[in-house]
Amino acid sequence: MTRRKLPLLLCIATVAVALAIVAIAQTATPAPAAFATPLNNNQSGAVSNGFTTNAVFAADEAIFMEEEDIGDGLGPVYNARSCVDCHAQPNVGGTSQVTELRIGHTDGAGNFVNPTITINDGANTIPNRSLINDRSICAQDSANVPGAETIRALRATTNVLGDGFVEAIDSNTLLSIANAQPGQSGGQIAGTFIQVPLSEAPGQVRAGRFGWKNQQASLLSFAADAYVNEQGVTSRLQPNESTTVCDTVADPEDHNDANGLADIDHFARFMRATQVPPVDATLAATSDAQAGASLFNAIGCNICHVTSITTSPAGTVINGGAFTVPAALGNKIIHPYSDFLLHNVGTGDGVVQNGGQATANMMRTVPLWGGRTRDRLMHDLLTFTRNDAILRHAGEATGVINNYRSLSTTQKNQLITFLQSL
Amino acid sequence: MSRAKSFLLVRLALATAALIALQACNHSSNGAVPAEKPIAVATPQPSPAASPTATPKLPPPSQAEVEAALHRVFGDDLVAIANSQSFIAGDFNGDQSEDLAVIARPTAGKLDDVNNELANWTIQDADKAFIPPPGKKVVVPPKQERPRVAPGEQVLAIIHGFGPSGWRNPDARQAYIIKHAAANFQGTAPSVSQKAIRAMKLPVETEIIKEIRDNKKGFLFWTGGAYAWHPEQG
Repeated sequence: MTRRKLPLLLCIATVAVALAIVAIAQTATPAPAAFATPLNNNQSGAVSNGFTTNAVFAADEAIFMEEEDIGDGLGPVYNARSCVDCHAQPNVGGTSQVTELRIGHTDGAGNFVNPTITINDGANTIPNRSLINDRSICAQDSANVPGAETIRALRATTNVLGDGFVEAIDSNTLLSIANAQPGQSGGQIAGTFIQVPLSEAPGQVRAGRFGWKNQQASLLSFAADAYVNEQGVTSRLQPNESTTVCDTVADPEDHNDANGLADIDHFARFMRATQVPPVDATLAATSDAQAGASLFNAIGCNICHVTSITTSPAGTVINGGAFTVPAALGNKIIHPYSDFLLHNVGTGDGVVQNGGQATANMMRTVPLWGGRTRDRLMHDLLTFTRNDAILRHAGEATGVINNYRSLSTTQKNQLITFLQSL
Repeated sequence: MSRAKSFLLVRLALATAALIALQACNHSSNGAVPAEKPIAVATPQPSPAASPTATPKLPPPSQAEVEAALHRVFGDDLVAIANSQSFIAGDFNGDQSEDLAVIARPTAGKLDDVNNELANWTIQDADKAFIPPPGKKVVVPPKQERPRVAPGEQVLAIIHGFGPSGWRNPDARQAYIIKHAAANFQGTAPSVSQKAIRAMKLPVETEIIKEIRDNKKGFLFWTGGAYAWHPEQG
């Protein structure tokens, strides 16, 4: 090589290295996966996904686990005193065996109508609310379910582990999945994409993705909604109690701490910092599970239980401008086994929330990640084997489930082994 | 190349690399990546329901059709009890598609296939269906053992319909084998006609099968996830 060419080569090499660094920076990488929020009162073992330090994560987890009392604003009606009372299996933020009750009725035109609940011996009512709380801070607040409310549905606790990555999915990605489904299924499957209001960005909407009816689009909205509806604690985003009977604490009850953050901010930050549920690596590596994974895709389960989604790039502004996807959550590949869309697979509960009347009998595709930690299945927890859960799918899923019915016993076992590895 | 030119070239390369790196950093952290694009999809309004289309009126089932449907779904594992009183059609699960219920028994030698945990049907016991108690709100459903069909036991085989042609549709293969439900059929009726069902506040309105079982009047109904038997009241 001549001395004259050296600067030119150096120049090319420098630019190539820079381009390579850029390419690596923009390549999607797997989201960190672990059950890393063990049920320890001192939060030992809590490991975040990198969105926060482990110390901050543990502090947020402590608030997620905190038991509220009347002085904190608990109630007047509520279901549990702490997030972890329901979100606990197998780690803090997971699921549980607890279901809650939603009720209502239909009018003459077939529209779902929210009930008016009577309390305090008929002296007060809780209007326009399908959720029935099981507990109250005083006897007067015990709810009487009116006999005219002919719809009664159970809903299981949802898992929130890994939900920071779900929040970071671009709404357009979910819409693309919905648009592709009819073509993938001979027109049988068409996920319903809904956009719902964001509490933290008034006037803005975004693709719903949290809750059995996709009624929330951001984790902060979800946290505020759950805090007021499950624990009865009002916040800046949900400042109104469902009833004021026996209520002694001024609203909003969730105040900012010394760091300027309210509990709902800590809840949201905790959820955003959780790692995604990991697979059972040993089982997943078996030939049966791998064959089952292939069958899962071959018969069409993956049309709704989508195997891989990549989150928005870091820096993307989401939630109506209220949140920017951080590096820890951006451009990450996740395996949720859900399309986060609403479908009618014959298991609907007749209840309408944010999606309009046509969604009464639709439910969100349950993410199957972490599914091996549950033995009561489907949204009402009334199915106990994976085979029965599969066979319970009808409606839009009919073609796919008929494909399952055509599998041999060996193949069905392989597919179920795969499901048990998730 | 002169020394000055070489020096310039190296400086230019370093500057270019720095610019590329800066651009990348901007993309990943400073909001140069565009915000999530708003989607022009109408936010759902509380408009009238896609009003529940009535279950299409279909001709009554014939014995031959019933046997063909039973064979399509259960293969040779079940055999229909051959008489015209042993089957009945209606929208038992409330999805506006006609379903079929047939009294049947396991074929001799096929009991293991009928009871196979991975069979293409769900076995339920109409006397053990879990119905959430109306007085409780947060409910922990019980775990139940999977029921098994006994040799020669008469069961009710139910095929859920799919689409306008209901149980006759070749794709209609969602099926249940119900223990303690094979009885004398007394017709169908809307579920809301029964006070006991109204009190249960089930998520769907369906048609029930009125039956006489062990000399007791009652009805078989869909809870939303299972078939259950209830004695008639009043």
